[in-house]
Amino acid sequence: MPYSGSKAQAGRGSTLSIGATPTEIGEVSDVPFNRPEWDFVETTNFDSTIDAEVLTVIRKVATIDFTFNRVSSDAGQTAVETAYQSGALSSFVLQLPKTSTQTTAGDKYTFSAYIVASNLKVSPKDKVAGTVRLQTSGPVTLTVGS
Amino acid sequence: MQMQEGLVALLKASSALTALIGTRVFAVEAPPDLADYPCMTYALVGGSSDLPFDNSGVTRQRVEFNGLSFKSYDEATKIRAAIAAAVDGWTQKLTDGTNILNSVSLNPGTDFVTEQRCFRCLIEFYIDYTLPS
Repeated sequence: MPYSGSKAQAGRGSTLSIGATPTEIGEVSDVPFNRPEWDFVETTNFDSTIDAEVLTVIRKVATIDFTFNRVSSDAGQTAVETAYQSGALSSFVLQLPKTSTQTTAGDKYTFSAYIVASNLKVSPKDKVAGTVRLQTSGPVTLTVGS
Repeated sequence: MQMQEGLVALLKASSALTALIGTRVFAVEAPPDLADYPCMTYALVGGSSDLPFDNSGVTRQRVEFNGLSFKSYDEATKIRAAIAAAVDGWTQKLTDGTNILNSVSLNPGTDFVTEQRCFRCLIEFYIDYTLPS
C-alpha cells in the first residue's frame, strides 16, 4: 500500500484543566498521561496447553505526573494548590488540539484524581518549575472530538 | 526591543566597560580597523526553547562575548571581567515586553590569540527570557 502521509498531531495547544467548571492550569509543559492498567488473575488449568492463561478482572488506578512553569497568579495553579491542601477528589480534563479534520473541538480525556504531591524545583540557574502527582480514581474517559 | 537590543543597551550603560572600550560593542565580528580596539563583540551561538502547551515558554539563548585587545592580555581580561559583571544576573522587562529572567555564566573563560596577535578573551552566558505576551 503506498504511503499517504502520517495523520499524527502535535501536542502543543493541549490544555489540562481542573475543577467541576474546568479552569485551565497555565503553562503546563509535560503530561505523561498514564491511564489505568488492567489487572489479571491466572486461569491456567490442567486443560491449558503450553501457554498460561489469564483473565482481566479490574483496572488499577493510574499515576500521572505533570510538570509546569510556576506562575504565581495563575488561577488553575491556584486551584491545584487548594486541592492539594484539602486532599479532595478533583475533576480534570486533558483537551487535545483539533486535528486537521476536526472543526469544533479535539479529543478530550476526563477523569477524577487526588493530588498526591505538589513539588517545586527552585534553582539559581533555571526557571521555577513544579511537578504535580495525580492518583486517578475511577475511569479515564475518552470523548472523541468532531 | 529584542533581547539583543536590551543586551547592547546594558553593556553600553556599564561604566566599568565604557572606561575600557567606550561604546565599541560590535555584533558577531569586530571591525578590521585598529582604531576600533580595544573593543568587545557578542554573538548568539545557540540555545533552546522549553515550550509549555499554551505559550512560547522560556527561551534560553547562549551568547558568546569576547574582550579584544591588541595591546595586552591583561587589557582583554579586564574587558571580559567587566562584561561578566554587567551581564551576570541580568533581569529586566524590556520596552516591548520581552522579559529577561536570568543570565548565568556557563563558560567563565577561554583565551585565544589571533593570527594578527589580538588577545581574545571569551566568556559565555545563558540568557533566559520570555517573549512579549
